[in-house]
Amino acid sequence: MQNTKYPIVLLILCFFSSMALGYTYDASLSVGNLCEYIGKIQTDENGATNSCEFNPYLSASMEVPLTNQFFVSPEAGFSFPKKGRDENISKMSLFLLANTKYKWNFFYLIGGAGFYFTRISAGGGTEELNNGNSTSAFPLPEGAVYSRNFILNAGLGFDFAKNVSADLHTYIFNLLKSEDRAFSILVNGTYHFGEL
Amino acid sequence: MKTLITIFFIILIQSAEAFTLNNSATLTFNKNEVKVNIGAPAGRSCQNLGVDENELLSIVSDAVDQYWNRAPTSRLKLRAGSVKSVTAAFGTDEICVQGTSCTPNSALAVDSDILIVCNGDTNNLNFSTPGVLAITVPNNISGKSILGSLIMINDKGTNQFKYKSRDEKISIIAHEIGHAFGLGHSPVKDSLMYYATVNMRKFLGADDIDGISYLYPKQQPVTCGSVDTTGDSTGNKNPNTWLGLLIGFIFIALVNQLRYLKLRPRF
Repeated sequence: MQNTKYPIVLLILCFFSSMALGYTYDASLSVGNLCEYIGKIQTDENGATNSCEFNPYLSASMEVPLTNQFFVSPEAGFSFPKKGRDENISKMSLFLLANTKYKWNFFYLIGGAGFYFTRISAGGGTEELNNGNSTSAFPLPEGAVYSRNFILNAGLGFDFAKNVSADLHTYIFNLLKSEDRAFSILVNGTYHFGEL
Repeated sequence: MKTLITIFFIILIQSAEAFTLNNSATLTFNKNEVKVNIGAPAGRSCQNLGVDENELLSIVSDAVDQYWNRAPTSRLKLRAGSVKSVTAAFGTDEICVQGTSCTPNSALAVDSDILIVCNGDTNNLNFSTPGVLAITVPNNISGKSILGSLIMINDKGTNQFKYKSRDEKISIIAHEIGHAFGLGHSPVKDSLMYYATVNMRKFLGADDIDGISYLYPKQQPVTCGSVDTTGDSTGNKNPNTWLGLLIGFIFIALVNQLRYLKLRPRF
């Protein structure tokens, strides 16, 4: 496993900085769907690419007002582990974000940055696969590996009611490098628990 | 060496999502940028492929840019290198020692990075049928690191590679490069690492991205991309924790200043 201590330290600092205000307004819980790397993955032998697959995620966040319209909103979430089409490999995503929100009445814009971790794991062993004119037992990876991306987050949201809102987020990977730039879209519904 | 490393002799046949590895020890290149060079064996260039070494290098450039370099969660970047002179043995000899499952032929050890050569297979030991397009073996290993990998393209008169379109040649070379940096085959047809070629290959499959990310996970910095705090260009990890802590404390100080502003709770 790669070293993940460094971003975790930063996340703790972000939370402490929010707590430094002396207030924690509005804890919330979101459920939504994560569409990863849209248009970047081939999905069949005819050249079609991915749009959005069912990939549910859960996140928790706080909303701390800095002014009447401007809010800081640290967020942590994860997508549920999935096997994909091969049961030997499991994959999930985790993200830690420092978001800001700017509100006009019921609408708000979201901007932020953070870390996106991709966890890929397998239990080892081998898998018998075609290899030329015969088959071979190819080794499967053993253990979990995390990749860590620094991402930007841009989005918008709408407060439907006092306790309920909906957000649309765009996670931008590798913004400054066109060769591996990628976008993920997240849609969620959020329940606000109110002041803690 | 405590770990018994089994290296697979991987071949791609013409009819060429969970990923697998091409060896039992999770071998990887110990650097973030790997060059893919073309070898020009002394006295024997690519004779039967329908492309010369320079055109092959152009195909390599497209292969790495169209496929592997697009993986958003991998730190490995592959670059087209140059055409290099190599000994005549690269153009004729077998890639594995005869009579072994695949002990790499030490005479063909690649010093560094990835080398692609056309091979006429004088002794008929590399390509059992015309449909075998290429074979790949990481053949220079130190500990758990790949120092060099060799890709041989079937350059016998009967090879099928020459009948492929340019796009197919690009995907074939990209597939072999995948083996060269450590991946095995995938059981899923939409993956580049599927054992056979498909007609409309355009992008990496989900397995391919997972595979390269597993072997070469990206470890991006925390400072908005402007400062690399994850180590030097050789891939050595030396996180600049002090810089991160400084940024964190500055952030806390700024937030503390904002506490004097008038606040409006949500509820």
